[in-house]
Amino acid sequence: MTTRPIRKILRGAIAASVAVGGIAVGATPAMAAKAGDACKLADAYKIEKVGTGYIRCEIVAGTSLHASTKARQAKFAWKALTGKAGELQWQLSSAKGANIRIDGSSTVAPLATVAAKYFETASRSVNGSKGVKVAVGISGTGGGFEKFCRGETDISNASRAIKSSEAAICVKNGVAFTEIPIANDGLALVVNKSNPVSCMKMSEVKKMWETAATGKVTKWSDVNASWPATPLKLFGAGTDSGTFDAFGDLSTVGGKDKLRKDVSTSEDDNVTVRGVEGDAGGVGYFGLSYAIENAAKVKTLLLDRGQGCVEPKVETVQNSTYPMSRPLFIYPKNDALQNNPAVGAFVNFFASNVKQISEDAVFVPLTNAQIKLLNGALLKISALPKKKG
Amino acid sequence: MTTTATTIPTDLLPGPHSRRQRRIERVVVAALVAIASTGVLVTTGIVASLVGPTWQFFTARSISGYGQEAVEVAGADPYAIPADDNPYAIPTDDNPYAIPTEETGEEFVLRDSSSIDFADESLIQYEDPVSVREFFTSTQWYPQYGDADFGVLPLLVGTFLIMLTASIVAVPMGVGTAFFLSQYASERTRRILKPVLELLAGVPTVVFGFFALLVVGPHVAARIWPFSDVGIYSGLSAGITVGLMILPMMATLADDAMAAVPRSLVEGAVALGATKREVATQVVLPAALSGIMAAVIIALSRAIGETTIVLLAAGSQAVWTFNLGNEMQTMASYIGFAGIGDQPTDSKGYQTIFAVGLLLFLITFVLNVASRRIVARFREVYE
Amino acid sequence: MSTVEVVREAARISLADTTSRARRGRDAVFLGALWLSLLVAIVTLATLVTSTLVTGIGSLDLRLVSSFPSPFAADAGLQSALFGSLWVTITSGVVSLVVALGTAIYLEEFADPRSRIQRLVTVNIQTLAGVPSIVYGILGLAFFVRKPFDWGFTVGAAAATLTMMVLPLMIVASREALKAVPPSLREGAYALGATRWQTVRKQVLPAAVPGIATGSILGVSRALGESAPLILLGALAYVSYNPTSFASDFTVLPLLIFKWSTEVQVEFRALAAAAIIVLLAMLLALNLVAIVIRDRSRISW
Repeated sequence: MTTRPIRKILRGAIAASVAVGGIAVGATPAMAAKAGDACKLADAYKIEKVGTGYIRCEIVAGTSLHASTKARQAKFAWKALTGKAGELQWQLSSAKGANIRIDGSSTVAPLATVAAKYFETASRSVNGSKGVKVAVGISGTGGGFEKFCRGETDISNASRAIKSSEAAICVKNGVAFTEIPIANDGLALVVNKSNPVSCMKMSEVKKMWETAATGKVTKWSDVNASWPATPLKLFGAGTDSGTFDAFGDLSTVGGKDKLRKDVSTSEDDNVTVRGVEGDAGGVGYFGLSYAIENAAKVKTLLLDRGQGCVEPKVETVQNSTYPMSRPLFIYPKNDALQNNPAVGAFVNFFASNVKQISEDAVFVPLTNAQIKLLNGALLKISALPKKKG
Repeated sequence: MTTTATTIPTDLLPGPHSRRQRRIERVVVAALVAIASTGVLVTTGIVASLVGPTWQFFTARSISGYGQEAVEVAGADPYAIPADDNPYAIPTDDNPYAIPTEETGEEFVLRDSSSIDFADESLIQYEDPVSVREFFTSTQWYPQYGDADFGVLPLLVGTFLIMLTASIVAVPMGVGTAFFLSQYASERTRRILKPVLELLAGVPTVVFGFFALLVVGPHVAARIWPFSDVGIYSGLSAGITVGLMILPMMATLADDAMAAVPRSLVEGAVALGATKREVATQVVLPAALSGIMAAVIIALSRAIGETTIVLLAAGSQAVWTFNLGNEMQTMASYIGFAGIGDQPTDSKGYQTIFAVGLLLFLITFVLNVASRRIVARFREVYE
Repeated sequence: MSTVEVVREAARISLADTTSRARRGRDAVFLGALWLSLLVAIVTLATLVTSTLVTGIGSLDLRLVSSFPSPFAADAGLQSALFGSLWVTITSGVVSLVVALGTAIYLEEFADPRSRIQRLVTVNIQTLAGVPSIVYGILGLAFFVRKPFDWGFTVGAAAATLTMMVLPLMIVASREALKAVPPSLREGAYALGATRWQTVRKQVLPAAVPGIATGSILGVSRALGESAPLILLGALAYVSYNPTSFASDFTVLPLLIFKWSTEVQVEFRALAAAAIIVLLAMLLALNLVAIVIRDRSRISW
């Protein structure tokens, strides 16, 4: 007879402790943060309601996750969101308990991963354990579309525009989509500081890097007779990197398999920097942001595709006058946008924070014109008829 | 050792059991038969999942494009700078992917699926099936391009060379270790070393792949190859690492084979005054040879099917070469690579996964049948 | 070579060889070669382990397990991959154990060894044991991810695929364990009037448990370390939450290691090495359990 009340008390105690534990975990800490307080990378894009306003954990302007100097190393702080921005961000993160499956290009994956991480943090800060979960697969652009056009993913990442054959298969399977430009990718060609060459024609780039050059073009003077007879020493990106793929396309040799093979390849861009820095005839390539960070060690070449020498800068990559640049895309599935509010929220979140996300993932941000396009795409999305779930 | 069914006459078995027990017995047998046929189902599944798409690859055409763009660039990257008279011209209106500058403010049309209408089937373009002849005779393997080549020979050569390198590493060392364990080592040493080998045989291949990236590629393969410069990725690095991966298994299996040689044989030889070496090389080796051969074949078929190490260590190009210093792809690593690759949906390039998979399946199948035959012969020796 | 021939051969050698110094010399060279091969094997495999330990030990802390994968090395952890691995491995371990046991019991205890189904199943299992793991990935993609099962890139599809992969190993191990149970045990049970199923359940299975457990643990460790087929099943992914059901997205430890070791930044390489240490520790623990079971149950019949 006595066991029953004891059991009841026990059950009550367990329930109470679970509840207390839940509150302790779920609620905002007692010492509520305010604008200006420091926060951590792990909390980036966390959003909180303070009184009637909103604050968000953001990177401090002027600091970078990829800074080369200690002074510019990333710091994070709570920032007050003004006007409607706070309300908007709060709503964006409020899609509850849903999953988003993204797949596709390995080049775009780092960008989408950063976006996913920030979005998850934001969503968790509003919904707690019911925060949206985002998975980012790496199947390559083609592999991503393969799954996407079967309806297996919500968003496909692409380092090129969808091919008509792929679009055709999507449509055939009833998968409607919307194209959204999300960042730019620029490649810098770097040489030793002592090298007199400062600008190359794209035809010369091709001559230097194509398969036919193997064993034949071994000195700088083999490329252009007016250049010195310094032995050519080539450094390239790892063959399974997106950079390698991109260079195959953008160097105009005709794809990565048409690149010459007598190149020291490395996954580590630092190896390229050290090699080019230490060899008078060294030449290599990597992402533009990395070239800017290492401007003290190596010289970045200007490139000319017939319209004069163009310096690789954020602006010239953005307006496509610099030859070795390309836009990157995401393709949300219209059906997912209509049925899963989380997908729309993610796309909107990505779009509204696209500049910082690009920077943190070391990509060249969109131009204002591209952002107009992006907004156009968002408008198109918002015009899609909402289906009732 | 034989099963009970043969030791007890079957007609005696059911015995005077209750009806309920007999019913249970029937249900159990039916359930067990169902479960036991799972293996057959899996094999059927494997064959079906490989043969279907492979048949498509060799006989059916697949969609390669739709509408105008496909005519112009035929599978090429539409972002590539158009290769007309002036290959370096800034993209113009003709190129729908050009990004407009702010000044011009031109209207730019993003693609969406509403621009495609399948009503006009004449706009759909197809690529032809790949001929079996091209698959087996061409020496070019570039399935990922618009202007694609589907010759599987570079993959076969890569597979063979990496297997060969692995066996050069693993077979002598494995057999040597087995000799040591079975003939020379004290019972105590053996009791320590054997489990260690078994533990090492269970180390995941991704760990070996990491080791290849960290140590074998940059510090070993790059230094020991006299014939050409060797980059961080090479067939050599992959081959050595795969050899290290199969070494513990090779040694364990060879040791098992040697341990199975009857003691009387060894004792007889020792009694006749043979030294340990002579016992090892002239008595144990011939007697255990078929077992060792079977071990070699099992280890090699592991090497042929190894994906992760080769994917990490040998690079991502299927080059028609016999120089181990080059980057290479094997059949297995190509499948892994294509699984994270850029081939367009349902294209011939994508179907290569299945064609190559089927070939890989058949090759390992033949090897396994061979090893079973050898083991069967090996068993007869002592009956 | 028959036994007689071998012995005759040995006799011929020892009698013909009278220059014992040359013999001893050759013996020494041979032993030297054996030592060398053992040494090289041990040194390289030890280098593998130590270089990984040295690279990874600095990143090995509680945070690695308590946090989730991240695009930034500074706050990256492996929790979701750890849980993904546990889900996939435990599920495939349990399911394949049941199927393997059923198959083994049928083949060893019920089927007539000369029947066609017995031979068919046996040959099939031998074939399956030799199929490269990547081919199981194709099977999983074609059957579980897509139609007829249509499970998508989920824990369930991966567990099913790995079940198929470890099944032949487990069947072989279970059959060996059942074979090792002496017939006298069964005969005793029959003599007391037990049915076959009663005999299997009450006598044979308990006696075979240690062998079956050892074999299953080895099968499970194979599943835990496997990476190749899961590449095709979409597990090479950024997933920053633990699976909650068989329909969850997931990643696994070996593929997180794969992903981290191909990252450009050096920090990720250290993380990869630390994750390897975690994976190896888990495998070591599993194997130790297997060894302990094996040693404890050395019953001589």
